[in-house]
Amino acid sequence: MLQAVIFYTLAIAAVIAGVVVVTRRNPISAALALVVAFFFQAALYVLLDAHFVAVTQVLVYAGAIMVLFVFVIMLLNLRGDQGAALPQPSARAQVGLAVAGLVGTGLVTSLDALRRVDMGPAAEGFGTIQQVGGLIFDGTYLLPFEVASVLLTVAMVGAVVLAKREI
Amino acid sequence: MSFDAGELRYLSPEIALFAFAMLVLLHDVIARRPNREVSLAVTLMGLGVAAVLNLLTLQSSPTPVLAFSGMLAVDSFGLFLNFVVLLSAAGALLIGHDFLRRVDVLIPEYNPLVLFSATGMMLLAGANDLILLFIALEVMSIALYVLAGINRGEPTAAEAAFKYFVMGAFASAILLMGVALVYGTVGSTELRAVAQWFAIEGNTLGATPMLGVGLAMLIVGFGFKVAAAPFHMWSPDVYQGAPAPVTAFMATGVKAAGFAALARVLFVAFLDGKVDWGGTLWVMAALTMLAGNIGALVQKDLKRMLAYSSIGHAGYLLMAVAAAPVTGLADNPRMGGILFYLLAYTIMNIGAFSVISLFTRDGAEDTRIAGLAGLADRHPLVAAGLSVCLLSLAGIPPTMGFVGKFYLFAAAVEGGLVGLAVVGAVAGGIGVYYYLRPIVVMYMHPAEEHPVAPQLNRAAMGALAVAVAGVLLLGLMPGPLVDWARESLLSLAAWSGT
Repeated sequence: MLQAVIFYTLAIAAVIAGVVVVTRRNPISAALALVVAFFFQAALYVLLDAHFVAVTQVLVYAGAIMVLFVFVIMLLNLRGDQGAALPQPSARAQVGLAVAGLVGTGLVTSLDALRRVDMGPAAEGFGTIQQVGGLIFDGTYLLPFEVASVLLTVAMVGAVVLAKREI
Repeated sequence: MSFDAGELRYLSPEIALFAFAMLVLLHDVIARRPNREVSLAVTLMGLGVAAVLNLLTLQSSPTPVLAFSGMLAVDSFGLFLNFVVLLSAAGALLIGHDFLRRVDVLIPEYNPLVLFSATGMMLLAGANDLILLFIALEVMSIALYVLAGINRGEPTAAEAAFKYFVMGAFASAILLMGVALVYGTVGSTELRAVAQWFAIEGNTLGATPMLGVGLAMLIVGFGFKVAAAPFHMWSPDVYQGAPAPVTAFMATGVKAAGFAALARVLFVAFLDGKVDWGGTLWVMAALTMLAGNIGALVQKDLKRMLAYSSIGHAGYLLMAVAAAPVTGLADNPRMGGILFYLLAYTIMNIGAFSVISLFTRDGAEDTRIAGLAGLADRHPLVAAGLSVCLLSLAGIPPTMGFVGKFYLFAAAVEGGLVGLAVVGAVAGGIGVYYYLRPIVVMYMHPAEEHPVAPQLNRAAMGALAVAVAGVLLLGLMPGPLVDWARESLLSLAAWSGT
């Protein structure tokens, strides 16, 4: 019961913050509302005992990605009053909406069908930082973890190649 | 599960490639005046070392092995494709060496980026787990986004890079969502675990649509990567805009690695009577073959024409993949044509692009088909080389392209997909027309007033010579290679038991 109350409070707050993101004219306000939405989402993850995902959510999304957003907004020097009126939905947008609706229906149906499958309770400690760390470093997911470092190296080299002025 | 350092030997080709990439990168940073010849030589040496290590791995583990807690499958399927990837990378390096100097893009990171991307492709060919598969896919793609945009001064190249990046990121996101849905249903990302999940009584796609949506998203994601219709719209612009050597790499390496991953996922995880993805692939294959070959008819630019042709070739490959659910792998000996064709396509495309890369004027590419007029009189050998590659792409004997196409069609017919084979034959017939057009222009049309002078250089000519020799030799004596390709494809059956 208590869990349900907490869940719905957090969920509704997250949705409200999400609506604020798309309705604000001032990009900075929209970005800040997004941070709020991210935090509520992180709280939802904690409620699911997914500690690792919650921490990552705060560090990566609320932290790093938001800083990037704010940087871009400030570099472009966007102001609220410059925002153009919302464009009328074109034919393409309607096709897009139809496809999105189709995919959304598929996802909802499949989630609904999932209720009928007995998944059993998650293992003790599932999703905790300790277990995630264990999975990575005891060898199970060691290879993808190491390849991820290759990925970061490539991304870094690539960013330098594309961005530096004089070669 | 624990880590066994001895398993690193299975990864030795990838490790060697990455180490050489870092070496070349450091050389270019430290050396005050990086020597391009030295850089190319060391990079090619890296490819050679990786190829030798790959061969040693192939010989030392004749039976398929799973390494790194089931993350990496070491089987001859993956090792075969590693060779294809290495060939493709070598082609891109040789074609690019002089080309980049001419278009004034002296970026020393070109060689390492090709190696990085090839590392990703090789991991992709061996990934037995959806997590590793995704990360490998990103290693490959991110290096390629940068390579596509390496010529920053050229607006079309910038457009191509951006388009490729946006579409690629979109495709990756869809693929990742598919991975999440598969994991949500099965509780594991390992491919064999999915097959085992299906083996349990009562576990069908109908009972859990989530897995079906996941599979659909995986197919859509791969469809984008290998440019299969209806997810091919980006590829003509990107292939035309990107620098010629990068286009060659994108068309060959990405296609090989993408099909490797697609085939491994479908054949290992989903090749079960309970899942019928054959119908979906049937439609995709038919659309892809028609869209590619019909689209190519009206093209006036050689690179753009080859982009459409590349879509068409993805269709032929999909046609063979679509036959797998009907017959299984073991009962369809022609299925090895997939691997044979990926190799053939790589060789003949590298040859064609090594000629295309010669046509630059004042630091910009000039790849109009009309610009080829009279080439046979001025440079008969180059014209002959390009003709052989184009005839092979069209599938005319005695070339490698003919043998490959023969096996793909045979695989489809063996699987009872006669209708699809007919569609393919019609599309192939259309294809002959546009492949012959550049040849007609080269041999019969008089030269333009100020013809583009092909900038002959040793590296690209070497690539062309090797490609032409390969296309003809392996077209005349395909036997051993066909056997090897068939056995390699069959090594996948060890995982799924079909």
